[in-house]
Amino acid sequence: MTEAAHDEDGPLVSLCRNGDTDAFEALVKRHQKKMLNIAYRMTGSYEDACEIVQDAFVSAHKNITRFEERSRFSTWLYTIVVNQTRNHLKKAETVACRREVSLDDPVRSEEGGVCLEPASKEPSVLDTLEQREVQARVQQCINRLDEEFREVLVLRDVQGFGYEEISSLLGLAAGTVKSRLFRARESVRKCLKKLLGSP
Amino acid sequence: MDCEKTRRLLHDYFEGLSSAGEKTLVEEHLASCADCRRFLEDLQRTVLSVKGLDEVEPPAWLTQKVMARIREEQPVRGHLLSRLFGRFSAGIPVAAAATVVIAVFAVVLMRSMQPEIGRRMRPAGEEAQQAPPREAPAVTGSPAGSAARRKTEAHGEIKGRDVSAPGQKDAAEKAAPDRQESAPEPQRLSESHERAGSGVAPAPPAAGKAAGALRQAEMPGETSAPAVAPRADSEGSGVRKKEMKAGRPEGLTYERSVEQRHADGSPETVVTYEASGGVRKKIMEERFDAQGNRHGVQTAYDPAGRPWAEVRYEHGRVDWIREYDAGGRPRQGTSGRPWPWLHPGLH
Repeated sequence: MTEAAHDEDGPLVSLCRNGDTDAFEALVKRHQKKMLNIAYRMTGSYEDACEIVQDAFVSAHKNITRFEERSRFSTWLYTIVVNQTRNHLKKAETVACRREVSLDDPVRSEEGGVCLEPASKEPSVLDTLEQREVQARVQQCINRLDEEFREVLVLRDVQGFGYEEISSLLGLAAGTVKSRLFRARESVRKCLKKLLGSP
Repeated sequence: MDCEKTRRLLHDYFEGLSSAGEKTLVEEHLASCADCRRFLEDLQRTVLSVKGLDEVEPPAWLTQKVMARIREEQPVRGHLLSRLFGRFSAGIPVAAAATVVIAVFAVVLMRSMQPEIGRRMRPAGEEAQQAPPREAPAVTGSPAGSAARRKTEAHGEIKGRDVSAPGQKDAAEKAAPDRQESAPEPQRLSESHERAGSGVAPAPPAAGKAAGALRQAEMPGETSAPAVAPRADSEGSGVRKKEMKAGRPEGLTYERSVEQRHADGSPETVVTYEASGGVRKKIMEERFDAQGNRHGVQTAYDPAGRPWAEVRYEHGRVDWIREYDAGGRPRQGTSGRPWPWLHPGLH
């Protein structure tokens, strides 16, 4: 039996196809959090992530008749949000490098270039709890990854998707997903060591 | 095994995805290599740091903003009549305009056909009415005529239902027991979807359909499922059967029959048949409440006469959905195939 056959969203999707906007609203409520978190961890910006999620849902609604139920509806939705995030990042160009300069030491990217670190969003480092500071550093390290490594890391280690679903979401072979994930983790490991002294 | 190879295998190893052979190789190497043990610790800490990132909550306005954008881009999507008459109604509330046009056209058509109906159908004790052939000219020059012609072209024979809706007052029995009682567990909608239905006033009766349809389009809390309940007629008696000529070369005809009525004469159970070459097949069964909202199980049948979709409505709102595969077994998911009662043009 296919994955789509077990899709808990199936009844609501059928209603949406028949023009029921309330059904779509139910789907938005069900999936918005996960979609927001994917976009947020890939962009590092909550505001941008909210915009991306809105665009993704509008696009999904427009194209819902094209959803062929080969995968679960949620996988289809997450593919849309990943694609919207990619488009957003393309427009924004090197997001991690265009922000304000902080007092921290610059960290070299994989390619050897110097990325200027984003300034902390917190009002004062002294006021920040240690845990939040660590999380901000982890996010910084994620932001420094190239897009193709970042999306794999976010989907696997942040969102907990299985390798198979990531392959389907990104249209990549399982081997490619794994090798990108290894490189992404290795880069984050090095980055955290630099920023925090240890991962 | 060297360190580089071991480190590649460590990702699978610490996630518990290694094969038994790989696991043995990794553990043998780790036992003798302090660098790789440190690497493994670092890797675990890195992944834990990433996994430990807090989830962010969506802002309270996010759903509203998404839905506002969707409704803005498709203000009347889902309302069949509105879609049919969208172009005609520039500047006029779409559903109201559509209903008025249909009513005017129905009266004109009924009056023009009455003599023939009386001659041909009354002796049989039933009323039946033929829809005009597809090519038949409508009232030329009038908005009602042009709109009705557009509808005729777009939806073929099924338009006869709207033109000559049944509506005799008789003391028909209430609906037969719903078939879902003995059927497998259907896919019930989530509470978040159902909530909108509770407390929502039922749609107005047939006479007030225009205002009802308009309100439906405007109010985000109400269902947008198009209500296409047959309307009550002003004359005639007994169980009314409608016959609609397809006008198709294959000789397909569609017949929509009100099989049960509410005490006030409004249709309760309406069955649509497809006839070709002397063979008549039931293709759809619809149920309505006295206000004209879908209520009870709506069923779509396949060519073999087996139901392929059953959707239960509760006063216009979908309650549960059940679909069947080609073998008649309940599907786990849904087929994505449009339900015929919402898309009469499919017949």
